[in-house]
Amino acid sequence: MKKYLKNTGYFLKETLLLFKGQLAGNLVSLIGTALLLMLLGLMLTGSGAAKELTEGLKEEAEINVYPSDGAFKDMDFILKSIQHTQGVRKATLIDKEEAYKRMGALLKEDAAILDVFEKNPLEPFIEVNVSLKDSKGVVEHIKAIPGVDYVRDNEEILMRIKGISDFTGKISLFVLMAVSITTFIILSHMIRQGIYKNREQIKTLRLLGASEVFIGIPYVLYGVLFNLAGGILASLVLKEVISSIYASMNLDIPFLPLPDKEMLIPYIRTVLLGYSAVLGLIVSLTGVPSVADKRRGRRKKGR
Amino acid sequence: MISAKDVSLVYQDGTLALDKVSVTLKEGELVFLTGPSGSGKTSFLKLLMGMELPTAGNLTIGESAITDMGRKELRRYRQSIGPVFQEFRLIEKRTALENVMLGLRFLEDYEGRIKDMALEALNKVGLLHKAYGCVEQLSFGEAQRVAIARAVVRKPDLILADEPTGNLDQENAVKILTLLASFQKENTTVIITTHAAHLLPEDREFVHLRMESGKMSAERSGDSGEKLL
Repeated sequence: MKKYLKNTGYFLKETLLLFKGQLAGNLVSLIGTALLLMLLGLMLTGSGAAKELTEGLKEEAEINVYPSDGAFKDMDFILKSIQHTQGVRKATLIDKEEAYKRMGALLKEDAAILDVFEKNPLEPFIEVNVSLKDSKGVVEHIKAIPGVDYVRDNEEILMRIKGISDFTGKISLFVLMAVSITTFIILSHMIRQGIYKNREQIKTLRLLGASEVFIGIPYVLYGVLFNLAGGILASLVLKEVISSIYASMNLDIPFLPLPDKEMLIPYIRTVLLGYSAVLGLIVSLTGVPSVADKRRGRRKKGR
Repeated sequence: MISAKDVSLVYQDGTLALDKVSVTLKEGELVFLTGPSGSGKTSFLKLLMGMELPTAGNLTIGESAITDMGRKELRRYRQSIGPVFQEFRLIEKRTALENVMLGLRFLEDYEGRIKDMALEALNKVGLLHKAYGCVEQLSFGEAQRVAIARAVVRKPDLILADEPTGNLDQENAVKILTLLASFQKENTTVIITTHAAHLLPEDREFVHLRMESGKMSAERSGDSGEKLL
């Protein structure tokens, strides 16, 4: 072990020379690998965001309860009945003014349309927070409360979002497999090419008494560092891509609770770098044994 | 000690390279192996380098038979010898110093910094001023000397030089032979193959092995003409 540590500088230099040995091809392959890893990163980001969104929304299943025309004076009664219903986390009375304010915030530039009305067209309602698994039961119970006219829940929307999330999850898995296999093929080919190109050097080292491990280390490092470089490149570009996606989504869908970008980017970056390094190591360890000397044959018997 | 008994080597294409060669060489000998091209000199050296295995017979180096050496033992054996290959086998795009340092990098133990030891070896072969030059920029004779420096830097028990006089003119050929012979010590055996039998030194004792069509004859230099087979 000490012998290998003493030669760290030598191994790193040999690795760099391996890369320089086929510079143009290696640069093209590096860009290709980075693009693949970026694609993987985007899929993981999308899948992760969808999953987190679904989980978040699950906990925030919302039911809006609208009283019948004559029951506005009984709002307190309805509110208390809802608050005591099993499964209800929180029930809040949203008065006319608050409802008006919320609609204005939702409509943004189009809020001027509300000025058309002489008086506030919106009615008070009760906003109820439940968890998604309880929403069905709660809805049925609330409908039965006297004075309740209409109950609106977002269960259908949530189930659709969950469906999309599951779908993107499956796609991500497929992309992960495709990226892994493609990177494996590219990298192992490059390593074997490097070994073939340097076969005379390898033979010389062997004849001087170098072990197969000593000979193989630069090729293992080459695989790991190459893939890691691709991961670094991918994560740098990915940061900009995610930032621009977030910027555009903030403009168009203001109420959609996206995962915190400042936490998401470092997380995806860490996953991408770790994955690229580990994959590089696995591919190297698989491809490098082709360095081994298989030739030492036995003498023929009987001569 | 090197002991060969009825050693034969037949290549895969059927060429009989060595035909029942027998010789015993003591530790610390200076040995010249001469003969025309194709006589089996390089083949004998390949056996000693562990590049080939005998097809028949026994070849023992020290206490181990070369055919019985496993991978690890063969590797250790190769680390203990200093080969000077006919084609040099210097690593391209590296400096002379880096090539010589390679002779030490994977040894299990050595004393001192390998860079200092490599510079000392280059100094011994008269190439200290070319230490940081790329090997592609060296002349044939200079490349030869870098190869010798790489072989001797590890202070080996056995130096094997295959046709070191190669394409050199007479003057440089003599210099190279003299340089190699100078590394012979009490514990260091030097075996040199050359087709230039006329260039063998007259001022020191050595073993002269002659190869002809795969067969070997031997005699010790000096007046006795003592046979070694």
